[in-house]
Amino acid sequence: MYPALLTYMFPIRYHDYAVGDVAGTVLVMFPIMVTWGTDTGAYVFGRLMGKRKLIPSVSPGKTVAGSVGGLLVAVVMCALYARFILEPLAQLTLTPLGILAFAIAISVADQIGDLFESLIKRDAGVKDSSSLFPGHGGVLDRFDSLLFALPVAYLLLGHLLVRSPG
Amino acid sequence: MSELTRRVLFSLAGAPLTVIIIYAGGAVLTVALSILAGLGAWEFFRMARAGGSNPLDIAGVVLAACVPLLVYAGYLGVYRLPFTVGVFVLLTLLASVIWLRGIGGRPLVAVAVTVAG
Repeated sequence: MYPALLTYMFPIRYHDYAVGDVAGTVLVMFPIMVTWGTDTGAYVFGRLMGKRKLIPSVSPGKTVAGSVGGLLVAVVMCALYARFILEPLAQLTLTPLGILAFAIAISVADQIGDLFESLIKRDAGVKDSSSLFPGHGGVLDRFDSLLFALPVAYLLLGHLLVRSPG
Repeated sequence: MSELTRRVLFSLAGAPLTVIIIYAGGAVLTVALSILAGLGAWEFFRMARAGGSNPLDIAGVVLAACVPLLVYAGYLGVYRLPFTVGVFVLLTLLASVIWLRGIGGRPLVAVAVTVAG
């Protein structure tokens, strides 16, 4: 079940509101970009300000500052993506409150997904899930965040997405 | 080639490919998701084995890879998986550990990890 959660890309790609291939693609890229924003923000804020560890027994590198920074960058990324990509290319948008809720939920799911994979890797005593992707580890290393974020995105988009006027 | 160079090159190739596959949708996206789900399950079971579990790897990989195919079939209206089929898959896994794992093979853990992966 766990790796197959990537399948949630499919119902997002063919969401009722996403008319056409471009709109469907843009909609799938929405949670992907928010998770990318979270990961980048967590890395930068963690490097710059990270002192207090988040859960050192599971993942010694992750910090509270990185986690909060990831959340903040996710909100900014979500707002920018909704305004400059989702709205013009898919004629879809979210309310300001919707943007906030979506960004926070995806960012939290992303970080929990990341922690969960760290936990099972630590339990197994391995550094990477495999070496299928050069420099990136395996499928689970690459998609750990999305495995948690995509089902959350699918659930939320069904409630938060609105057709943009005009 | 350094680790960083490989990482950057892979990202440069991987990002557009991801967008192209999502844009193509349909069978292309389904096959890609099916391969990723199967490989992800294989990795999951490898880690589970390293952690001391003894899952039914082949069955788990096949089941994981089937999920995107079944979802796609549902979208096409070709086949909608009845709940009972899922129940029978679970029962088959539960039954198979009688012979494949036995008393000493932690059968409950084997089925639980197989279903999770």
